[in-house]
Amino acid sequence: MRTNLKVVDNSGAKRVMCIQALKGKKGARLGDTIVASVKEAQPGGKVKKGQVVYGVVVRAAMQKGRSDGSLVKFDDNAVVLVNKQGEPIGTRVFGPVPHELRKKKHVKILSLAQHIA
Amino acid sequence: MPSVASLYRESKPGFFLGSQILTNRGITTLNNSQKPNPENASATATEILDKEAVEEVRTQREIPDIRPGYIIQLRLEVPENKRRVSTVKGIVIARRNAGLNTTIRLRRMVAGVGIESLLPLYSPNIKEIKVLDKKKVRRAKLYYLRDKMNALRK
Repeated sequence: MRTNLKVVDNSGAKRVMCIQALKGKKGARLGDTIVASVKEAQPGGKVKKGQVVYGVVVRAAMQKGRSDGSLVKFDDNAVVLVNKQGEPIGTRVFGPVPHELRKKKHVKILSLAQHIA
Repeated sequence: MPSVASLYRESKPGFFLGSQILTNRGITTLNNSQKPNPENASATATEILDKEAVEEVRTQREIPDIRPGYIIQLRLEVPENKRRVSTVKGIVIARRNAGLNTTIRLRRMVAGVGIESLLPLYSPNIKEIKVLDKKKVRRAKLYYLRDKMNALRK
């Protein structure tokens, strides 16, 4: 059993469970892409329960170091569902997203975000 | 009337008025002009360099006194954000003193989600610090605020 993450876009899913971190032996961190299984979904959404989807971690409770020596950590674990090319499935993103997404080339998610932390 | 000096001279043979005293052991100075500074008595080279670096930063930028419980507003330059200055407002929940690497933990609510960041106080990326409010707290580390964000709203 892996991490339960909150979905913060309007793709229809509510909670997903990570089944694989695509990069890294030690697990996915902030800004990484994961493969997840949808555990809870809204009735009329783009994804259904039990579907295997890709996601980008946008908020993590584990701190992430920045290049100037500062650390940032969020209060919850959240993910935005994407397709295989990295484009978000939903059309809106709720809550803050970190600057780390810029380096990982997730520009579309950054442009949809309410606030960039 | 014999002077004090002559009395002294009689009692202690070899006593010279002035900076030099001839004692049984040798010659020493009267006043210890090279008394070791009590502040730097046990200062190592790294401590002195650290203090100098801190003073150099303090002369360049005005950094106010920041303690846990203060609500501060920072103007940060984030290198990931292509050098755009952003304002950050939050409450200081911890301060760790380590010379030049003094860090503060700032907690703020952004768009409904709590964000905690650890920032080096003397970082050149911090352009301006302003203290907005001071809350009364009875602790040095306010980690209990992670569970209750409304505790200090009064």
